[in-house]
Amino acid sequence: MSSSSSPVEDTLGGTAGRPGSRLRSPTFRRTRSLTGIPLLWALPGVALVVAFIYVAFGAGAWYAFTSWDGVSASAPWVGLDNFKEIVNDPSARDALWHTLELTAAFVILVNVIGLSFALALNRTVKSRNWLRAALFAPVIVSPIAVSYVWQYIFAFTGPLNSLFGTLGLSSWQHDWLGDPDWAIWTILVLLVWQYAGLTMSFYLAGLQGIPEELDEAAAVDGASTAFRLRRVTLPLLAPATTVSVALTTIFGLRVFDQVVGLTEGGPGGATETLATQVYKQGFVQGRFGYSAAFALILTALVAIVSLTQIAVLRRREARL
Amino acid sequence: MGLFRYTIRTFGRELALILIAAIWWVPFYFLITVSLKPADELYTNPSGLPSHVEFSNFSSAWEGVGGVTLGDALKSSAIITAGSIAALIVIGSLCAYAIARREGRISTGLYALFVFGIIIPFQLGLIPIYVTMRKVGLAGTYPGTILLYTGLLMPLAVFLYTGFVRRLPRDYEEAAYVDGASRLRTFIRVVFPLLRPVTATVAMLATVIIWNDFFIQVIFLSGSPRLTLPVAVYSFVGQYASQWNLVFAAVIITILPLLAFYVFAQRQLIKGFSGGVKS
Amino acid sequence: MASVALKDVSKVYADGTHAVHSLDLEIEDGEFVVLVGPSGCGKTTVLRMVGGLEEISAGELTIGDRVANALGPRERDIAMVFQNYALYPHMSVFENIAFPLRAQRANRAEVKQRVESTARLLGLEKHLRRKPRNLSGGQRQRVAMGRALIRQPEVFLMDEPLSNLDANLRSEMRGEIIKLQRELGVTTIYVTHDQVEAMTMGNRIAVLRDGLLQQEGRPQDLYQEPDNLFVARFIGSPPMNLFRAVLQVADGKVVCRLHGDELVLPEGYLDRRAALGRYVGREVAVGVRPEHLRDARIAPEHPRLRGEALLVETLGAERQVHLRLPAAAVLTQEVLDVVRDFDAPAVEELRAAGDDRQAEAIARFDADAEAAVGDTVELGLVAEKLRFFDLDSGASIK
Repeated sequence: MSSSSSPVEDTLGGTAGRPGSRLRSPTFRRTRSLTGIPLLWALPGVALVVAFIYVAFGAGAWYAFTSWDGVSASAPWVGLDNFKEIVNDPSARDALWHTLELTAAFVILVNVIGLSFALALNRTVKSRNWLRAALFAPVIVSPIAVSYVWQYIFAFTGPLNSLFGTLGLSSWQHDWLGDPDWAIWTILVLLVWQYAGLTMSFYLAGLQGIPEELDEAAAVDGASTAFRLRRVTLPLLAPATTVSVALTTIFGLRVFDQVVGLTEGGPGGATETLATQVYKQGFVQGRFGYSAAFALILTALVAIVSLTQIAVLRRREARL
Repeated sequence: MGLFRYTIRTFGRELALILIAAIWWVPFYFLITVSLKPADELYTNPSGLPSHVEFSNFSSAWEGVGGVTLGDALKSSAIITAGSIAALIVIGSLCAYAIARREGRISTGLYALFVFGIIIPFQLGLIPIYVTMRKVGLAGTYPGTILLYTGLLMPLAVFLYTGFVRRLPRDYEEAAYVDGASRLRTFIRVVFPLLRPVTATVAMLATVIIWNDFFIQVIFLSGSPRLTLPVAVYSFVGQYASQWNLVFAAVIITILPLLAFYVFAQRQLIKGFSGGVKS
Repeated sequence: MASVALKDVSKVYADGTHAVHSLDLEIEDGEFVVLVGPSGCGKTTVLRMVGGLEEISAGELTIGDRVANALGPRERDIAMVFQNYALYPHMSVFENIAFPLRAQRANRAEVKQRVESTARLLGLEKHLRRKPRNLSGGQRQRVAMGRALIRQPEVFLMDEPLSNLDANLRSEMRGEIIKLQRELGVTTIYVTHDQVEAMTMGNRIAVLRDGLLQQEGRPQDLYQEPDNLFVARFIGSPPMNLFRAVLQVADGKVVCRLHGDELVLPEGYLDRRAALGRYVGREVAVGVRPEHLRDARIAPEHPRLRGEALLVETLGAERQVHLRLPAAAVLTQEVLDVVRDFDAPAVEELRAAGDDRQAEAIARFDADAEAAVGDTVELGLVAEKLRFFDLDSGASIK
């Protein structure tokens, strides 16, 4: 926005006191302008980001191809051995599989439920703020801490089973946390419970961007509520959907706290995820190279899945 | 408005939602009741209200584990969170201002650097960071952890600030220049106060993220006297596993600060989280 | 095709505000009725109640031969054109117009045929694939109309459809809407705050103010015989001139005594105006339209008043002379309400001036009439066209 000076203004010296008028005098423009903000100011920020994100990323990626133990001075190169081990080791493959199925289920459920909440909440008037606050609250509680509450709920002698008992549904009682078939779904429940409020807030924000007139016009045009939802509301929610699905996917792939809090990866590795493996292999077993390999796979997964998603969803958006 | 003809139907919907919200809060119900129960009632009366309130659960929980009380952990969480936020705001706003107000390929490139930085998962880089910090003696220290969080959250902070600064009219800065202020003074006195909404958003998002973060804190602060609340509650459970009343007391102590904060700043918080949708 | 009848219809919001008070209005089949009034007068609320977008708090709404209070918008067989058109931004013109048919699950062939013929009717055939954001204001308006027309509804509701268009487009679209309505013969209720639009478009107009119906009837009737000060001042551009005078009888003649002058009315003036007789000795508001303030130099037969020229505007076909009259201005709530609609800050100024303010008027003279700022102008008031109003109630004295 460098201001061009008119010859008249230059001769007359501009109107005194008018902001920016001195900027237009030739001598002034050379000494000060907004483009003169020193790039130096950006240096600390850039340095921090380069160091902690980019360099660290590069170093970590490199370690994935070594068998480093984190202590010794040397990090012997092993090429693709770590990855081969991951592919061949059934527990490693399981961790990958758990991550994927958990993420898929999580993304679908948390978005569907969050959207339903948002649609329902958008229409209520009186208790709307309370409801929104109540449903959003779990988002900001410490995941690891709140996992223990759910550990209590899912315990074999816990309230969930006793509820089924009193309702006469004893066939529904399970050893939720101890049964390898069920354990992973307890994590799903906890994740959905914690983050449905977040997706709800995304969709609410999106809904607020849709003028109410459109829904009214559709109603006047004779469209049923379902038809309005399908043909008007949902397509116009596409930007919010993109954001919500992308973010929940990235988050699901990285899940850690809730696994540690609920099952610690058990029983017998039935709920290990990529992130827990990164932690355990590296910081418990000391196999930093192996841990880095897991982390690299996690990163690659996040990159591939989220980029494809965003591409697909954005193309849908553009078509609308 | 007027489309909602049958108030019975809307009333029913509202009722259903209230019911769902109530069910949604059942975990909190257990959290509170169990934390106030004496130990024996855990099995004799698992789901009901406590017969009498046992506040000693809280004082026991407060003792923490391994000589680190929950009070210490709370202090650590606070120090690390506050320190990181301060650094994020100062460094981030200056950095974003420099980028947003400049034209040219360098600044566009730098902006891209930050945007990508948001997407890149940090888990991979954590390993070399940990090792390096340990070598340098920064692991398990306040400055080290603050530095780490500042670096990891900087892309988000810069992203938010840049967007806002770009939309800020330059008139105020120009007026300050005409009045003879230096660039730094202009920034501090004129621009930064105008950035209050973004600063609030950055502060709130960072507070929730850092305060609740477990992965980094368990790696960097386990065993350190400066461990934070998430780590403290994890170790606490490690020791007192099935003493749910004590565990839940510890959980409440852990989540209470942010919940209290939430009660006051709830609208702003939700807005901060869902702000990205507008793009 | 149907008639619409509102009987004693009211709208009260949850916080107690009365948007509409006991409205009685009948609209015949095929009529074009305009609801007009300043912002906030309730006209859009009435429209939305007819459309089913607002709950009717009291009274009965009949569409055709059915009582419609409990029916949803879908069941009422009405179509609505919204002020901001409410076009579906993610759908093409074709899809926008087709939407009502798709909502009724019409088959593809029928949809195609009807959409295309509607588009042809509105001149949109070439734009069917475009999205609303790539259309001009006028085109968008037509798409909105097309979407409403395609359903061949019983009643057409229009909520200020032209207010977002520029002046030229507005007059062009006005004509098109009138033409369309006449061709199709659909019962139409049209809401606007522009009284010029109201006057030119409707078979009948209904003036609303603060939720109350002021007067309804043919445009010319409201123009020539306004029922109260509000209608008098609201309808007509330039507005009806108003000033205060005390009615007196002297030597058998009726005299209006103004502050600085007096107006002698013709013989037997009160004979045909019985109600006016009761106001002798009291102050009333006198109204006279600009075209009935004649140049006394060429029309000396009328009762005279002297005014001071403040401004002379030559408008090609006529000369509008703004004058200060030797009389007190009429500043009742009705008049202030009209002012508030287009210049809210001025209301405070006027109210502060209070009783001291002198009345101003606009006279329509011939284009070649001689008049200059500062001149004392001799005005001839056409006595037959004078209208009188009660200053307390605002009602006209007939």
